[in-house]
Amino acid sequence: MEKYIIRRLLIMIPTMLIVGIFAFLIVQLTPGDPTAAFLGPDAPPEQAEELRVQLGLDQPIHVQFYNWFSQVLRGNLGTSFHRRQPVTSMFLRALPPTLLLASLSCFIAIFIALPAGLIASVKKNSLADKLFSIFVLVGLGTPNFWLGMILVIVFSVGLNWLPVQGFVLPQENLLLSLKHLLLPSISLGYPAAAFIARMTRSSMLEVLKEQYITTARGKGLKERKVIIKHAFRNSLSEILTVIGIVIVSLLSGSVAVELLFNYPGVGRLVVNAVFRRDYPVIQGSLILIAFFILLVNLIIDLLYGYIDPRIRYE
Amino acid sequence: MKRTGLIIILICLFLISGSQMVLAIDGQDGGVLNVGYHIQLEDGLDVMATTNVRDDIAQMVFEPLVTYNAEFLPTPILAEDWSSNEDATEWTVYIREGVNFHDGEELIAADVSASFSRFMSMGGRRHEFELVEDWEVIDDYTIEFYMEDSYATFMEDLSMISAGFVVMPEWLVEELGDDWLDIEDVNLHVGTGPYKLEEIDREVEYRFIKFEDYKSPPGESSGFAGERHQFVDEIVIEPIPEDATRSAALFAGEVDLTTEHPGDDYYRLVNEPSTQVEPYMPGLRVYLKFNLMDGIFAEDHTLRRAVRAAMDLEQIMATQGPEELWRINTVPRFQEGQWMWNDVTSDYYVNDLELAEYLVEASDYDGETITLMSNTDWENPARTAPVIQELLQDIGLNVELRNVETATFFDLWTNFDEWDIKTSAGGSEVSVSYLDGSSRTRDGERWANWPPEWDYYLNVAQQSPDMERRQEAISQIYRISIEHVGELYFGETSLLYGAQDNIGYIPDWPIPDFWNVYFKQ
Repeated sequence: MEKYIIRRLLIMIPTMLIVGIFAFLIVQLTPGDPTAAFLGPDAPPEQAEELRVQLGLDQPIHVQFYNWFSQVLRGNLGTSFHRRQPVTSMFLRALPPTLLLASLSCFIAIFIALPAGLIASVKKNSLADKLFSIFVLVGLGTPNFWLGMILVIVFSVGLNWLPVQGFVLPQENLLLSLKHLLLPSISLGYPAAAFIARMTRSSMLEVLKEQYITTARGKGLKERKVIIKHAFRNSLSEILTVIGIVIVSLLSGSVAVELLFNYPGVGRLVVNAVFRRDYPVIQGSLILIAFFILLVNLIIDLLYGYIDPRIRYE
Repeated sequence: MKRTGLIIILICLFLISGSQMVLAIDGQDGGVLNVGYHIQLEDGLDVMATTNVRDDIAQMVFEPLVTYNAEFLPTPILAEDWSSNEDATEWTVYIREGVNFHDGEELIAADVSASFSRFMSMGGRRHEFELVEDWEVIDDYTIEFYMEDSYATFMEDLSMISAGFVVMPEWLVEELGDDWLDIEDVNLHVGTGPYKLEEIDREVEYRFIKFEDYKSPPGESSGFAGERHQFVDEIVIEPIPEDATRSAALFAGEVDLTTEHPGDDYYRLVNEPSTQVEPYMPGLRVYLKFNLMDGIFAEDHTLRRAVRAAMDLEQIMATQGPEELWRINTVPRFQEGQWMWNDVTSDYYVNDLELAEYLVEASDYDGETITLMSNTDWENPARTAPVIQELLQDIGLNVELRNVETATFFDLWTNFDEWDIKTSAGGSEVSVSYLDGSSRTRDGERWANWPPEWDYYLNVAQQSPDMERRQEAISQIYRISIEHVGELYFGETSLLYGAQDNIGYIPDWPIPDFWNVYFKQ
């Protein structure tokens, strides 16, 4: 298994580099002049040219690529055109808020989705199942930014219970930090919960039809044990796949929600960089996002082996 | 068991790495004023570095020699007074005594001289001061500027508040060299302004505290000029770029003041009992620009006149929101009341569709597709685009609307085969020399067939010490502009500021200068 992990970790390096190459090409193909985005429309042309030289944009594309990629290979993701700060440090500043938001959203999603999906599958066609269907339909059909706006209107503007926007570090004020996190986490967590819950229900229904479940019941096992130990555990691999997808989407930046809640995370960083044509930030962030996605995928793959002993890593 | 342990360790490592990074990212009088600001501040407040730093925040720290008052007249801030010789080739500026920088050192002419050198080498508006040949420190409180030729609008150009000239200590100029000031260099933000930059968390807030040793300019507060009161102890600027979030933060009482709401928010702010709203006029000038380098309009003056005849100013400006928020003003850039304002252009906007159709017939137009380019991030001009498209389709022109975002818009700006007309917007407080921009492309090239007498009149307007001659020259510039039909100005749209009901501010401008905002008792 150690070999498997090392192999996967090694594969991550070329994968990230390929992502980097594609990021560079896509960014270069995008219309828009970084100097114009930086200086504004009224800047004198000589000032724009000066900046172009400073940023290395006067070089041919292949030279720009060589300069950038050779730095990436040395672990240097470059410096932001706009802020003149290292891309890595900008990303690492944006990452903790995103990790916190993703963790709490995930927690909310799993906390709601697993019990809801389980109950709906066990009580199929009951009132609980019908309510579950409504919950899932609303969750899947509600854009997270719209839900966020409704939550702000009700809980922040109307009731004044929670802040509208911003971010506070947990070590500065844990309670305030949680208050700031709650609404964006619910905005992201509820649609994710609906997604996971639907998959939990369908996966459980499949498993509950299996003969070994009938056998377990025939052996006189308690229904709770049949559901939890035999049915749920066997449906977990599918659920885990969905949870993995949710985590990846949350980590790669929940742009609309971060913008709505003025949340200084990875999504906002990348979107602002795109609008400003801040090439090094876009390229570097995509490489680092790819790293985290690959890491999550690795963890999920390892968890498969844990929940399903038939899976072997060689 | 071994495998379980490894997985647990991996998960723990992942979570710990996140938490470690959380720990490591530590990158009427009185009160704290919280401002929900409409953009992220990316650059240092030395204003001269780029054109995109906002003057209302920059002037809290760095002050100019002179600035505009509410009548758009140059008014002293760090200057005490000024004078010029008869032909306006030499200007003497007297500096106010007893003004201290935030580091305790007194402001002297050497600081002004060093700051002006920096401005002339890297300031966003340095090209407007090409007539300045040299300057010399006469004594600690006097500096003289020598011009290549008459330069009557020198003090007006120095008064420009956006990316204009501000003063910093000589030592700071030397320390910065050719570098721009970074907003995170809190300790280097040493100016003479009423507030000091105390602390910043770039993504969350910028905290300014009252400068106790501040020497305010005299006189009644007016525009950006006059007394700067320093009512509140602290000013916290929170960047909240999302319009809906900024409004919600105001309604929820999280911020005391909010800047630049979209027009759609007007009635919402008016109807909310706990908030007040002020439209800030002048705000943005909305206009239409023709591509005079390439394409159908470049050579066809008759077709351009057809477009002008078709324009319905009321209908176009109504796109800017409630009528309280806009006004028609067909003069390029300037305001009624300014010496450079006059009404020669309005008669040309006849809104006569029959005439427009006749002119289309008389032109070389043969049904080709006309591309109307618009920037979707620039809400005010973008809103006019569909109306303009419809007006032009009504007179038989085949107009295609091309909406792009900012970076692409700027990029296409100089790709003259990509567009025929474009909607745009610009500030209303500009210097006379700014009019030169109407005659040039973004690359500094002169638009094709631009009337040569334009330059002559522009020089007179900028340089002549005789005010009557200058006004006549301005009048001729407007006449050339509207008859040549290189651009069509429609009107101004105001900027909306929101505030809690307990907020008061002076002076008579609706826009609150942050140093003059107070909490009502």
